[in-house]
Amino acid sequence: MIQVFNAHKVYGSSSPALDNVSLNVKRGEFVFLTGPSGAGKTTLLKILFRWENIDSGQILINGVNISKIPANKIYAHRRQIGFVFQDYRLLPNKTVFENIAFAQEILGIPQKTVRKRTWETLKNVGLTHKKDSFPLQLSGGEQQRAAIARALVNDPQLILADEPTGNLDPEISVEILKLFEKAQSLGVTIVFATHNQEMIRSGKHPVIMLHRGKRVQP
Amino acid sequence: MKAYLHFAINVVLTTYGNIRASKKVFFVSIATSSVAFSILGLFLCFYVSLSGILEKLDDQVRVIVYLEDSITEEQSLDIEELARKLPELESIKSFSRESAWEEFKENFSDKLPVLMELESNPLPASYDLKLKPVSDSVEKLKEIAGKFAKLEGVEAVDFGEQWISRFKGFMLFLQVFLVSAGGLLTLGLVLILSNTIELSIYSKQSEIELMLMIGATPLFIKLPFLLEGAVQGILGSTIALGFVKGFQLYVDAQFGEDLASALFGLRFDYLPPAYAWGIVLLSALVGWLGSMLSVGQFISIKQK
Repeated sequence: MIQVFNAHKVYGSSSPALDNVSLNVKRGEFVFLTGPSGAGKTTLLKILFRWENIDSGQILINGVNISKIPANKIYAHRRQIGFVFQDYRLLPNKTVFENIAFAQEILGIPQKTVRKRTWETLKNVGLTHKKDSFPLQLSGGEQQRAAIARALVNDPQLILADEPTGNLDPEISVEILKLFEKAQSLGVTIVFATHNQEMIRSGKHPVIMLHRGKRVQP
Repeated sequence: MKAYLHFAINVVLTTYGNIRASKKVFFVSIATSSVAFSILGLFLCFYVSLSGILEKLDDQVRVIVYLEDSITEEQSLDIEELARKLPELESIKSFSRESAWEEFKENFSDKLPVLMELESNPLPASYDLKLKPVSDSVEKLKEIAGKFAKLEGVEAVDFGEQWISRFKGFMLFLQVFLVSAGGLLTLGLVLILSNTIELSIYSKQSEIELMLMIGATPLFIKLPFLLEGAVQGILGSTIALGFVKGFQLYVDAQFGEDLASALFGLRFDYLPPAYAWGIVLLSALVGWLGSMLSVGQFISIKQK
């Protein structure tokens, strides 16, 4: 699913954010991406998402070299991916239902399908009772559930999660992790960035570790 | 078809949402564009009114052939024969020295009393040739006048060459001025509207970023902003046209008669419909372009 060959990225004149990183994630696999702050986890996720470009190396997703995708076609690449952020990034002026529906509306999905899919996804993440609430009326865990629902609603092949439990307490973090595992069981490939060592140890998933931009043994 | 309709409704609703989110900036920008389009509209009215005079002049092309006092009847007939052979001739009038003097006195006795005291008649006999409108009147008139000037018994030929040339030169200058001023105003407006839309974009930055991340097409993101720019332009120009109409009605009511008698029947006319629609179309284009500048730049930075 994801093949990264010698990915190299430098911001300005500082030391590399990614230093010849190579990795391989199989279709339907759940991997933890870990490392201390500044290790390059977010950079790698942004690059996989084509929010940033690498300076050298090659990245294939589904066999497509993503560096070669022209700017006006990036949207098609992003439609295969769901992105979950540490800070949720829900639109504050829309309800939970509207936030999830919005992700489908911008893809031109008919309203009837949007309503049906939104409801089903809310059910999957256990948020139907909060569908009319605005993000700021929700707890951190509930906001992250809504964000996961938004990432899942368009049936992505891959989910990139950047510290999705970073702002949550341990109990809620476990619940969120379970939601990602549920998505994996349905065939979605998951790259879950975290520096929570306890979560990594308790899980049964492969770990990719970065340190100062380099891949190291976990 | 249904998908396109849904897309269009979505674009309109998003545009409305964007406008509501930055109402103050939106109205300031409409006011600015209406001021700029009012200036352009007033200049155009002025130009259209003066063009009306030029058309009237073209409709009333005259050549006056002044005759020598010692002209013979044969020479006079030659002149008349040449005039009647002209394909451009509409009518010909002959004025004797006496009739010219009488008409002069009738028209100018109160304005030039000193001349009225002259004992002898200073005016020559003449032929007044009224010609049909010609495309390049000054050149054509020059050619016709040249033919008469060569004839025996002709003292001078006058068709107001200098005056018409100067007026046409002035109109040309006005055209250049209008195009330059219009161009500058348009450029200024594109920049102003572009800045307004930029503010609107920055107020929705997180939403746009999210849309890009979820996989919205650039067109889907751009269209509401382009539409917002066009709406700003159209509203600005519509208000401007209303103001120009009001100004024109006021000037016509207050000074219409005075202007007409002082300046060869000049009327301060409103813009012809084609000009008014042209301004509205231009304003939509200006708004669209202004938005395109900002939103295009914003998205291209995010897509790098």
